[in-house]
Amino acid sequence: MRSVSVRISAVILASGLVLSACGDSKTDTATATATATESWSSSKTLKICSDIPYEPMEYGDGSEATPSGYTGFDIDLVQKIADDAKLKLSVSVTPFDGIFGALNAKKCDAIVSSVSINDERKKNYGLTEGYYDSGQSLLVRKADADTYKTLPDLAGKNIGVQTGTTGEDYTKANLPAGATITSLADAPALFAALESKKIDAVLQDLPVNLFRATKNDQVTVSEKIDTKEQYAMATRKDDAATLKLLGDGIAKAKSDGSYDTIFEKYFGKKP
Amino acid sequence: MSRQRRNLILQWLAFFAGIGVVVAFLALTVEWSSLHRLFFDWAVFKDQFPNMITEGIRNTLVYTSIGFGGGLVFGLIAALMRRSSVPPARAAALAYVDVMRSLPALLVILIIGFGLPLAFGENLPSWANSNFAAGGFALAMVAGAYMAETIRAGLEAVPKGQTEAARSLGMKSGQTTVTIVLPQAFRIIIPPLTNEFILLLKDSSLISVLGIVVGQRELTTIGRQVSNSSGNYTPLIAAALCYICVTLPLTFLVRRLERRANAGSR
Repeated sequence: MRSVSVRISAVILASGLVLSACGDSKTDTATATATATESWSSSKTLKICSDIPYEPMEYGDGSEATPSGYTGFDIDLVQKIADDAKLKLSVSVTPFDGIFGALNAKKCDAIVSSVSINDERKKNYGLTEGYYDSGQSLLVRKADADTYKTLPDLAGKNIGVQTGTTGEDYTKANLPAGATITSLADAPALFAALESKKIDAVLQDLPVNLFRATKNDQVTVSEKIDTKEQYAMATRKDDAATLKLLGDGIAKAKSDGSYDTIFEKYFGKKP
Repeated sequence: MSRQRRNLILQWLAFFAGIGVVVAFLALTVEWSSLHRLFFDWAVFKDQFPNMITEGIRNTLVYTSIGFGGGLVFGLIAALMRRSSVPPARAAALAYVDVMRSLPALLVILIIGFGLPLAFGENLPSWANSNFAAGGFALAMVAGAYMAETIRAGLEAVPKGQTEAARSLGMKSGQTTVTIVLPQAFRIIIPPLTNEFILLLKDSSLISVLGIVVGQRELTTIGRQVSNSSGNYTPLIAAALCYICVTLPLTFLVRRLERRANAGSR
């Protein structure tokens, strides 16, 4: 019985501290996630997870002149959906290789982050209809453009992909003989690795590679791979309310012309 | 010239020769213009403030304080349990300390941050799923294990005579621990606890793996986001300077406290 009373007082002290910690956290998270089964009524906060930066789909440093602080095609589209439903939009910047885990753990209500539709995701998550036609592509240094025209030309070379993406799946399934795969966490890391010659090519989504080539004249897209991929927004499987909100929102944006406006803003032409 | 003096002069010469070689090597090999442009762009640097302080330092300190406060509680409980007369209590505390100390903080943050909401589902209030609560709790679990050992060492450093004297005056065992042993133990362990705070301050950057919203970002995350979006690494340097500005005064404080503690016990 030596230190029972000590332990009790320690427990009381502990709960006191835990409670004060709660008080701390409330200030910033009072607007946190609504539970999955509730339907969306106005003035709630729609929390999305997004792997930023992934230019031009989602990017910014949190200080852009938009309500969420971030910008890009995906962000503008989901912002429009939130505006129409009178919801506040909050963007949680989440690494793509943990983004589905974050969704399951209810860190956010939906993933809006250039998520390509595939069978596995269709089985495990709620996916809206495709809102953007994407594909894979090969980004190489300009000096290598004639050597690495297609993926098979990279036999024995080092190909960079982003962890947890369909680009990674595609590269694994179509790996040239003797080539190695380097998985990196985000798009900036891939570009930096390509430019510093740590890897010989970046295989990832077409719009992101295309955009990079317009911004940096040292690199170029040597091959476009038409995988018929489409981007969708993803929700938890059991969260029909959020899926409906986003699905209806995309349909409305397409019918009222705002989809075309946003598309033109980021891709320079109408869809 | 005495041999000692000659020796000293030689040491000085060797020092300058070493510095000279390093400086010459860097001067010839580093591409100074691109280094300057990419890492030390004054205009970009200025842009980082005051946000780096009002959001970055603030949240770094909030995450660290939650982790430290919680860790102190876990550590104290574990340390007292390790001195318990109930063997399973000792074993449980030992298991906690050993397991937590063998895991990387990043892994603990991932497991707790993603595991808690999955394990408790609807029973988990939404505030408990925030980075402040879940991330802070994970940090506290890690810090608690290290602090348990520190606190235990502190408790053992209090001379046994103190306990015996208190007990012979008729004080109860618990009363002795709280009023006699713990205060003296904490005086001894304030410097190592401050070190733990500094370590925790840096580990707080790991919470960003859980996904992070504007307003909740700490120094490293802000630095990375801004540098990712601008293609310039100056924001990372700004964040580094902020860490130094917070940490250096603390290290000086630790040194002073250590000196004072040593002087007091002499």
